[in-house]
Amino acid sequence: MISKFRLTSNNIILILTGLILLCMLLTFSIGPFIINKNPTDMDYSNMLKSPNEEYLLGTDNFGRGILIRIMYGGRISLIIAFSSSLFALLVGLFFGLTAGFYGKKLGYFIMRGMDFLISFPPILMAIFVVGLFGGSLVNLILVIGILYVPRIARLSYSQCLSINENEYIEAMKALGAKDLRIIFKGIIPNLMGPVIVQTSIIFAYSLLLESGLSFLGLGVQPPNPTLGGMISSGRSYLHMSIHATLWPSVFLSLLVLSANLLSESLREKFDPTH
Amino acid sequence: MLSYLFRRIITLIILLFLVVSFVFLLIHLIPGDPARIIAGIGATEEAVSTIREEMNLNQPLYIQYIDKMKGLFTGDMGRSLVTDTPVAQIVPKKFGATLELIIFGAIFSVIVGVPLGMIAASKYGSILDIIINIISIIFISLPVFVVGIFLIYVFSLNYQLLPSSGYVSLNEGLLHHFKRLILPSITLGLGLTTINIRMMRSSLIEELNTDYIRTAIAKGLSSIQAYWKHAMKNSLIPVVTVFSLQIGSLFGGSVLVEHIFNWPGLSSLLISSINRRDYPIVEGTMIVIALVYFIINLFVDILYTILDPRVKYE
Repeated sequence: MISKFRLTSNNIILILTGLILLCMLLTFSIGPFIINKNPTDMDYSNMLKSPNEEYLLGTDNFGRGILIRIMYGGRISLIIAFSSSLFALLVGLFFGLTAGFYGKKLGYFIMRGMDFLISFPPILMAIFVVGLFGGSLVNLILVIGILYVPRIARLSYSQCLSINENEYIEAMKALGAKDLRIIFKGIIPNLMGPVIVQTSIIFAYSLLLESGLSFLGLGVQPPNPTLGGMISSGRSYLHMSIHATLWPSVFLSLLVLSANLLSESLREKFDPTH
Repeated sequence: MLSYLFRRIITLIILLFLVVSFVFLLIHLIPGDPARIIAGIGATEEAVSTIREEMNLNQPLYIQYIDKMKGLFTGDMGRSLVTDTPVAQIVPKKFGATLELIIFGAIFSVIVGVPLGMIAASKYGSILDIIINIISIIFISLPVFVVGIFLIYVFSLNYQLLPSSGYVSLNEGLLHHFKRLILPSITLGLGLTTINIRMMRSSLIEELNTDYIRTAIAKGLSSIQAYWKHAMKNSLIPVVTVFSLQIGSLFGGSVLVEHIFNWPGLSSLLISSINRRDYPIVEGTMIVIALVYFIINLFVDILYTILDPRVKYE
């Protein structure tokens, strides 16, 4: 049952962070059309400039506009974070539900596979795989997505096991409902709350992981702008100008902060006892 | 407990075996001829075939795999393709540096995080509590490398209090060594600090609201005694648990910290050898990291039973 919407402080945070994320999304998607510049065009007469009328956030060491680069870089970050958390959600649900619903042997093997994937710090695994096979957009999405599949799979597995015990599932079975119908009508709607919360946490993690990889020079390759890459190259010029490092850091942190707040208020919404 | 431990060690060995196989397979899955990739563009045919010989690439895959496994059991992990030093010599050296960083990062997170959490809990709902809360959620969202760079900007470039990067071994001077350790360990520990703050706060608040504390105060115990003698002790259990669970995650964070501060640890070894395509080192580093990570997690699980006797492993 959907409870009546009230303006609690949690709801206000939820709306605010949603708005920040939406604003970022709009800036990254529409912004490049308004500031009609190329993020890879160099301008050697305008290197490491402070914010001015032509370049709203200043320029980097190649004289490229920082704002326009943030827009393109943020776009890449969001695309990767969104696609990889969607990937983790769908694939994780598939494995978790298969293991939980068809249980026993198959479930055991699937969950041990998940244990293996989760047994290693994600960023080290990502460095290893991306370092060997290159940091193309698809590679990054797949690697980050796969690394977070176990989080969804484990959660949906344990939820599925406890939901399976309910009488309404038994009733569905007794009425002759097909497996798929039981999964989609009986189980999935009942485990979606915690799964959505987990997915939003994964979203924040993927943002951090992607920017960390591009900071190390292993993400999407230059001259394509990425937030992590901009911070990394800007830090060599910190003693001359802080803008090339500061602004991408601000945007990246804001993105992660709002993703974190979003997941936190979602958790409070779905699980008030937490 | 013993049979649990036995089973855990067996699992650990299986996991390690899987990691080794996974790393081996992936390195051999790189599209193209690995020998040619390692030799680089413009290498002579001769150089390529030397590398192929050296890496045993002429053999079929399964024989290479068996050789690798044999090597591992005898402690022979191959030699670096760049410097020709044995992998078993390079990796342990770097491991010490990483461990030092992790230990000091963890210490920082406890020294700062736990008291702040206590203050926030004892002043629950006050402005101080709200400020600590806001700061902790902001810091939990700051990427490690952003924190590191801005610490360098403030403390090294602006005020020139601490060196911005590098590593000096203990033999070359205690002071210089620790001066270079401060910024990296703070950077690494900050994430865990915020977790400690939040855990300490929520756990102490919960404990202070229990009946036995109310009874103790009603019976005339001073609130300080009730805090220190009773509430604090019990509220520390979940904090220590979460703290130890998170120690392993410092391994992941150390990658970026080592990169920023030029710290010669395991992760920077991994990255530099990936960039130089020095695959034996990559393999060795991954295996050592996996081993250490697994052992830490095993210890944490055992520690868990000691801290909270209600938890029993079957």
